[in-house]
Formats: sequence, C-alpha cells, structure tokens
Amino acid sequence: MRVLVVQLLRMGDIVMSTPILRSIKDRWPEAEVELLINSSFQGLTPMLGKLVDQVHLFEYGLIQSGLGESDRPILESYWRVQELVEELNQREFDLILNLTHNRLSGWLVGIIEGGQREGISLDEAHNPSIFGLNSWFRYINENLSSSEPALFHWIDAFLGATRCGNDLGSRERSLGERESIRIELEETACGVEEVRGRLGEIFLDSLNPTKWIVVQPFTSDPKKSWDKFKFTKVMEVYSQLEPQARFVLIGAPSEKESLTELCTLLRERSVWADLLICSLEGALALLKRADLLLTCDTGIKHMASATDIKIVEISVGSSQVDKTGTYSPHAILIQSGQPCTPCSHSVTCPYEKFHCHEFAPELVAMVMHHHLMGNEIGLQTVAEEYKEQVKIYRSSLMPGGFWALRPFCRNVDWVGQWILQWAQAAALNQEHSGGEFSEVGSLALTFVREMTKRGILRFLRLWMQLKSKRREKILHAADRGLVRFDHELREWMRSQGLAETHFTFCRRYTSMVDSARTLIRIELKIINSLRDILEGFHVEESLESLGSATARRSDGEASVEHS
Amino acid sequence: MIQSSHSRSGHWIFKLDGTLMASRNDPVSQAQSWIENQKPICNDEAYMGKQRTLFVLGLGCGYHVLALLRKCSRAQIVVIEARNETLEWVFNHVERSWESRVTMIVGEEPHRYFDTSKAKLLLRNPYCVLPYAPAMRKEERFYSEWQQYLLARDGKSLEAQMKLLDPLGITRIGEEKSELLSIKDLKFKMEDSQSKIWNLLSEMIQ
Repeated sequence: MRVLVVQLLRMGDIVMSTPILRSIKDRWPEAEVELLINSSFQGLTPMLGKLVDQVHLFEYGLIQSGLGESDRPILESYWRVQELVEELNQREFDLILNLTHNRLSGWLVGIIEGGQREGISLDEAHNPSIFGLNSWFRYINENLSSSEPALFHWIDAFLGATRCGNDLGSRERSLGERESIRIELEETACGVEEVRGRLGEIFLDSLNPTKWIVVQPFTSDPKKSWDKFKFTKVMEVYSQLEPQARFVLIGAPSEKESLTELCTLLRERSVWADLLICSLEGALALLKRADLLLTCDTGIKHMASATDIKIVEISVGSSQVDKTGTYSPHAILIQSGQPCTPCSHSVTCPYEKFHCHEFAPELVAMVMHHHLMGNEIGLQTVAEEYKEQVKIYRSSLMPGGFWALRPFCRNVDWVGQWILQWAQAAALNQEHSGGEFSEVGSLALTFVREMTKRGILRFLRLWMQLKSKRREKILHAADRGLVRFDHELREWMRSQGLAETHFTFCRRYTSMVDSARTLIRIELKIINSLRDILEGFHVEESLESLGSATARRSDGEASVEHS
Repeated sequence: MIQSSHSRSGHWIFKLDGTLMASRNDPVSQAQSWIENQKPICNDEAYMGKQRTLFVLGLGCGYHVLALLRKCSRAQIVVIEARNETLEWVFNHVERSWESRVTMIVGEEPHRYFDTSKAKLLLRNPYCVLPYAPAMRKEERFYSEWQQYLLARDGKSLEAQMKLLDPLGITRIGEEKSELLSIKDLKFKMEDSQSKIWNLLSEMIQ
C-alpha cells in the first residue's frame, strides 16, 4: 500500500502533520508513506526520519515567479506542475490524504491519479468532492478555516479525519482509544554539530548550571510578532530573576538584521544574548538541549513540541491558540486579553498600533520564571493578577487524548469545553460510521455548535424536557465508551487534586461528570431521537429563536420548550 | 572579424568586430559571476540535479558554457550561436571536445530548429533561457528572435510555439496588445488534467 500525504502549507503545518504520519504508519505498518510539501521547507525532511519513505517537492516559489516574471517562458510554470503530476502518477497511490485545506491543493489532488482520496479535492467543473465520506473533514471545513473558536486543535481534527475516514481494511479505533499523541522530529548529527560549532562545548554539557533560554521573537506576520522592545524588557527582567540565564536569539536568515538590532538593545541594558541563525536541524538540536523557549506563533514552537523543552508562547494578532497552539504538555500560552484577539489573518488591524500587543513584559518574565521552576501557584498568581491584560493557559493533553487549553483563572469553564470536545468527537465518529454525512449528522453538529454558543446547561435543560421514557431509553443504550470516559474523568480529577482539595470544585465537577455522562449518551444515541422529536418543525428556525420561543411537534405527541 | 588575445589571467579571449566577448581580466571568474546572476538556475536546485534544458543565447568565448556544465551536472545545454566563426574559435582555443549533453545551434532560425519532433520535446518541459550579454549586444536581432520565441511572451511567438505544441490546445484571449503577454492571456481548451493544472495556476495568480 502506498499513501501520499499532501501538506502544502508552512513549516509549522508540516511539523504538526507528524502525528498524522505516525498514525498512518501505525495503522498500516507495511505502507509506504510519501509526503508532498512546499520545496521551501525541504530543510525539515532529514528530521522526519522513518515517518516518511519519500518526499516530493512542490516548487511553489518557482511556479509563482514563473507566472509573473517576463524573462521566464510563458508556459514554464505549467510544465513544472505537469512534471510533478507525472512524477506522482507513476507512484500509483492507494490513498491520497490532503491535509492542506485550500483550493490550490484541491486542484492538485484532483489531478493526481490514485485510489481513495481524503480531504479537499476539486474536479474540472469546480465541484469540490471535498470530503469523501469523512465527517471530520466537513467539520474542518466549517470550523477550522474560520476565525470562530474551535473545539479541536488542528492536529486532533486531522487525526480524527485520518482515523475514521478511510476503508482500506485497517483496524478501526473507537473513541477513547487514542494513544499518546505528540509531534515527532528526529535530531540529526549535522544539527548537533552545527550548534556545537556555534555555541561551543559548554552548550552540550548537561552538568553546566547555565539556564539556556531560546528566544524567537519574530514571525512572518507583523500582527503576530510582539514588540521587540517588550522582548528586550522581558529578557532584562528575566535575567534579574534568573542570573544563570543565557539567551540565544534565533531566527530565519531574513531576520538577521532585526535580531542584530535586538542584540544591540539588550547589550545597552547589560543583557548578553547569542545570535544564532542556523538550519532547522540546528534549531532542533538547540531546542532539545535548552531549558526554555519563548516565542510567538512560529514554526519553531511546533518543532519545540517534539522535545521536552518548556515553552512560553505569546499569542497576539491573528494567532489562533485554540486551533494551532503549541501541542505540547510543557507549554504555557499567554494570549492577549483584547476582545479583538484573535483577528482574521486577512484583515488589516484598524488601530494605529496593535492593541493586542499591549501587556506588561514583566508578566511574561514572571511566567517564564515560574514555568521553569515548575511553580504552579506562581503561575496561577500571575494569571489572576494580570487577568485584565491577558489570558494564561497551560497546554494540556487530556485523558481522552484531545488537546485542550487549561486556563489558570478559575472562572473559565474549561471542563465544559472538554466535555464538548468529547461530545462533538462522538458525534463526528458516530456519523461517519453511519456512512453518508447525512441530515442527521448535520443536525447533530448544529446542536453541538449551539451547545458551544449557549452553554451546556441550556442544552441539558432541553434534554431534561424530553419525555422521561425517551431519556431512559437513550441512557440505557450507553456503551462501554461512556464508562471509560467517566472513569478517566474521575481519575484525572483525582490526579489533579480537584476532587480532594476543593469542596466547591468537587461538587461542581461531580455534577459536571454526571452532565458529561448524560451529554456523551446524548451525543452517541440522542441524534436519532432528537430528529424524531424535531421533525415537526424547522430546526434552524427554532435554534434561532432558542431562548424565547416554544416549539412544538406538529403531532403534539412530544414537546420541547426553550427557556 | 575575430582578434584573439590573452586575458590577464592567461586565458584565451577574442574581440568580434572590436567587441570583447569575455573579461580581459579573468574570463573564468566572469563566467562564474554570470552563473550566479542567472536567477532561474540559482533559485532552482532541480536545474542542477534534474535533466532540464538550458538555452544559452550566445557562445562568446565559451567559458560560461563550461561553467554551466560544471554547475548543472545533468542539464541539457542548448547553445544558440549566430556565427560559425565563433564556434570555430572556441573549438580551437578553449574546448575541443564538448560533452554530449551540449548542443550547438549555429545561425539557424528558431522555427526551423523546432520543426523536428526531438526539438519540440524540449519545449514540452520546463526550460530556461540564459542570455549572454556580450553576444546579445553584438547580434541583437538574431538573439532577440530566439529569446522571444522561447519565452513566447508576445503574440507572434506564442502563436508560433502553439503551432508546434498542438494538441495542447492553448489559445489567446483578449485583444492584441503591445505589452508582454502573461499566462492570464491564455486559455486552455483541454479537459481533465490539463485544465486542472490551468485552474491550479489561476489559483496562484489570484
């Protein structure tokens, strides 16, 4: 079996694809997995190791410049694409999995000959035969491409799509069977040598007490790059908190000038920093041995997730932490508290200066300090103290396997979010196993979306208003997955000390567990029942009027009242 | 008329009707700089690793072609030269035994050359056009014709190339215009994969 994975986005997206490549390798151990990426990120390929058997390159830059430059043959770009397509067609792929959610990749996947396709694929009549039978891809299309909040991280959504979306005789996994998921990259000898050459033996000496702090301050988008003066202040404050700290500034060759300027600013404040413009392999070797990474929304943060380094991510501008935040159990994410955050990628900021960049550098330095020390209470204190300016999260891999942002401020209903994740995943998987993404699935998703918007309690109220016999019937049908979920949730609460230490929390979460059980049952079994009940009226209309209207079935047998 | 001499670095060079065809200081270093200024090949590793075609407009003293052979180890190099005497001079003074992947075309017009199926094939793959300025200046009309033909960015050249590439089914859309054509001015008649490639490229233009 031969699988082509198409990933034509940026470096971070390629790195985020590694759990999906692992999943494919696990699922079909004999499969040859080939990857198509933008040639600009060829530097990543030595680190993909055995996850990929062959890499194909899409020469995006050359194809685009061939289209626009008058000293290039008019058909050069056409022939380049043709050449690539011929190369790929010779491989005779059994499965083509498109992880690039854009039209360009859709056309390309539409041209490549192969057995089964998953993900966006466009035909010559411009009809997107986008999703095959895969409800997860439909979810990705509707939720991950917009600036609206999402329940799932990009990796989890694409993993869901990879797992349930194909029928090539593999072993199906049920919900709750997710193994530990993490980003994978292999260190190379070249990378280690490069870093040794630049920073000296001292860097590789694990007994040296120096705290190595890697900082990548700049991103490709000015909206997402926090102010360089604030970075300077952070490092100045941090060096007072941690005198053993030594900073290494890293960046792309194009950022050398700005980084040199930053180094000068630091020196004026008596803070010493090494400047390291290195290859991606060198960057991985550096991250693997350093103690902490401070960065914005960059590809480097995803690379760092393949190591055990502690990470502090600053999320400003259009950076969407809920979809592409650092997928590591060692990360703290600081998101601007401005209501306009995150904004859309394509929208220019209407303000004279970025409001979302306006928060105290001192708080970042303190987060770095507490995070490196493993001081949870310190982190919580900073989160409470600066809650008007920022939201601070811990990136967590939950017991069920999904990634979630756990806020340090107690007033945020993150358990609720987690429960919704489960509910939605159940709905998507359930729907998929039913075959066509039907009206029932759409209905389920509409409900889950409404739950996200309006809160669980309101949804539960709706649930409670179902006839009791029907409720019983649904609850009786709960499967083993629910028991497991219940068990895992309780175990996890116990491990976090929530149940034992906080009486109010205990009561609250115990009640949440019950709600969760109910919700999961609802999501697994309720869909058909709800459809029966709602058949008599137009669902969307009723959802719009949710909160005020009373909707009744036309036959009067059952009623659903919305308060 | 050709006048031979030596450069300061000791390499053979010549003047053609009074115009120097390579650096009087060091033609080998000059050839290297020439390659480094050729954006299409320097940006594209494939030119160095793959069997691509490079059209060089002007043989000059031949040093830049030799440098190109070293840089692009698998490329097919087609050298277009206006004068036979230049070719003879290079054979006698610089290199007698050229590798088989070098093709020399002397004094021929492009449409005649591409009238063979083997030559047509060259146009059906990615290729690039590398003008050698000293030669271009000397025989401007001859080399411009080749350059236009290969780039196909004006109506006449495009039409000529399209005749050869049939049944690719490309037509021009829009009015006749004096400025250079872009891919937006073309339309594919073909179905299936060719039109999908076209759609993909349109996506990149947007």
